[in-house]
Amino acid sequence: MVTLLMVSVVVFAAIEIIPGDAATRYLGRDATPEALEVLRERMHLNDPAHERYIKWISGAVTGDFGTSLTSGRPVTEVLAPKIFNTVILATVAFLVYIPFSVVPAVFAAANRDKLMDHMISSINLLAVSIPPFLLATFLLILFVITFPILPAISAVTDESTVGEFAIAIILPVMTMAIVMAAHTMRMLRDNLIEVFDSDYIRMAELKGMSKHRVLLRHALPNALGPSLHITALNINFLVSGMVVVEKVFAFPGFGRELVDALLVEDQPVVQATVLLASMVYIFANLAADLGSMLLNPRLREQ
Amino acid sequence: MKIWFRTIALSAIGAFTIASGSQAKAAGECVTIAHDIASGEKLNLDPARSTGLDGAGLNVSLYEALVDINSSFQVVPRLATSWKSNSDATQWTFDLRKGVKFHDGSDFDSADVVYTFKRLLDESTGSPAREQLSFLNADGIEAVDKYSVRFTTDKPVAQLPLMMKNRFAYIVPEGATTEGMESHAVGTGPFIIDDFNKSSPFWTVKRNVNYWAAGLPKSDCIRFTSILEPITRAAALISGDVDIATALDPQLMPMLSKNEDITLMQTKGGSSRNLTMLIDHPPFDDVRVRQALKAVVDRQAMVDGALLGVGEPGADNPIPPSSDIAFSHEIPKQDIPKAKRLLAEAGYPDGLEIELYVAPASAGYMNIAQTYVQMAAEAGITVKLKQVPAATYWKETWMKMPFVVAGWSARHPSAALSAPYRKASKWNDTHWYRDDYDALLDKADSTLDDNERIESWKKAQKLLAEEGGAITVAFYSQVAASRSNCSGYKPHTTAFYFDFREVECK
Repeated sequence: MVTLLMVSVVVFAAIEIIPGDAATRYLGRDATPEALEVLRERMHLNDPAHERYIKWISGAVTGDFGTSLTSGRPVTEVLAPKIFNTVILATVAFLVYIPFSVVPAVFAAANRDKLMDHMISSINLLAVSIPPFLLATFLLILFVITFPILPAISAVTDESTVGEFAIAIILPVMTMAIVMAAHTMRMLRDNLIEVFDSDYIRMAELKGMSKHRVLLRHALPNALGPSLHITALNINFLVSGMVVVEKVFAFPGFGRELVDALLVEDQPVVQATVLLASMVYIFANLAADLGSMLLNPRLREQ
Repeated sequence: MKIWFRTIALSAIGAFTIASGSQAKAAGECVTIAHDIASGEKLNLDPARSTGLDGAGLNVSLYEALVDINSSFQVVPRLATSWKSNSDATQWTFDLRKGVKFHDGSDFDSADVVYTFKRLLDESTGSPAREQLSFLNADGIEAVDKYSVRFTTDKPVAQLPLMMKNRFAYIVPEGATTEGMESHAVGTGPFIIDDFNKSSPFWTVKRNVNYWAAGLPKSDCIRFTSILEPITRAAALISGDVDIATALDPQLMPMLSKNEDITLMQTKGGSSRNLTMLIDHPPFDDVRVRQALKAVVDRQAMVDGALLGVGEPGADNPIPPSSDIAFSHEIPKQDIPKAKRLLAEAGYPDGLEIELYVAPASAGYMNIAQTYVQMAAEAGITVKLKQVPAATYWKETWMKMPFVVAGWSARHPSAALSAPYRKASKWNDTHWYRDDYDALLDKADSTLDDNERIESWKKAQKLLAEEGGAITVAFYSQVAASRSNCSGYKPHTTAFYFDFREVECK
């Protein structure tokens, strides 16, 4: 809670110190002194900063983030449909991320030091090193230009059917899932190999249990533990990665709205988006800590 | 393991078929236009309050102005069919088109024109047009009869029809209010908007079946969308998700020019690219230094190198040498010995060291600055580049630092020569305060004789080219692209004007 309050101060202050106020930025070269004054009055920009902060934060607590400067609509109304889109995108990306990390990890670990392992590890290394925007561009060129099977823009509307929505989010979901899976897969593979070397797996093998059964029943659940923590951290990446991916694929979501709002310097929208993103960030970290405490009894006692 | 592979393969094929199915274009589908819209939230359908480029595409589809300006800056009829003035150009009468209906079915007549212009001039409307139309007097706007309107001005305005067109002065029906137009547009334009949703990534307009021009618009429906990422915009064109892009990053031109499905379009002329000096600031206060700094530029090399060939050379004034009204069609040549001689005369025989401020504030700026550094070095001029943030460039650097990279979007000659160079202009970015220059423009603005006006403009251009503080190295074209099955779209020299009436995709 204290962290969140600190974040809110930082967000507010950061926008405050950008040269030029929202009114000048909004009007741009069209700005005339009279038009500016009218707009400043309408935006309450003439009030002192601390008064505006208190007004903003007390509204934010009750879910009222003020009105967008550019459209005059309530910020919640502006953001709600975008958040809805992003939550779907993020959830699907997260669901895809799980097999994307587990399946190759299992294959690599089961074929340790064989060609399969080396191939998967090389691809993985590439995926770890490539920045999200580059991966997005690469996928765009591959699936839109070279093999034209997917649409370039993921612009979904209220009228989009589930099928259209599904096709629209293939590329953004793939980008997010690959980037997130890269780290987890690497860790999971190493954990699996470690578990394979442990006595109880040897025992199971000696008992004559089939290799698949050993792998899926015994080794995998035990190797998953440490990966869960990195998964929670990946939720953080989901938040920041969304901004990049939504911009590249023109997906009408939360991240794109943040970029748009920054471009036109729509202060209330920027503040609301950054605050909400920070909230997700803080709660994901908290969940990660709690999760590892639950999984690891040694941490619980402290 | 086999089951794994089969599942993956099947779902991949499934995705493939669904995806390729959606690619086929059904008959009667909308033409999709990628337009520069920074944020849907910025859109509003009141033309008096349109912001930047964002609403321009929508406004030209929904509303119409009295007159249009074509790419060579001639005034052409739109809602006004003809116009004439009295002998001293203080009274202009516009005859209006008959039989035009607004989208709500009401008739368009002189009362709507009077209302529109009085509203634009009214301070409480808060329209930036108020300043642009300041030559008008609200009390001097009157309806002569149902289809003619008279504008009486305090001073002679010879270029009035031209100056009546700006991106705010679209005719709205009498009584229209900002609140009413915020989300519901009633214009006379070729397209109608049914359902305006800011949050949507598409803004769709449909054919106005009662449109006055026979056979227009050619498309049943246009949907505008916003794609900020240049590479995505190009990919969307290639994949056919988008039929027309009204603006394109020139760096993508080589990639798109090889594609047979894409037609690239470039305007003649365009936004100027200037190296701008403050001429009351040493060493730029010496005209010989200014001339030396102009003489070092190889203008064609600037266009080919710094602007990737997307443009044409400039001649240190706002009118491109290719224009009919240019004072000279000759492009100044690079002349290093002349530059050295001028510098020596000005007291810098051993060369000169200056600072050039630049930011990636607009296309080509960085390239131009870097190319200039090399060209100037040949004449012994050391130009030190000072890169500053683009976000604050126009506010903190332009018009404040003595030597900067800047540019002006294309305007009609009267505005192009006056906005940056009149003594009273608030955007006089070279501190060019010359009464003899202003006198030439005043003469041009007040004469009704075309030849005399052009002569004055030519003299003004020459003055700027020889003594002015802006090195106009080039004019940067507007670049647009369309799918080859689409026709009827032409980019306009000025970034703000569009016409989608002839657009159709087969």
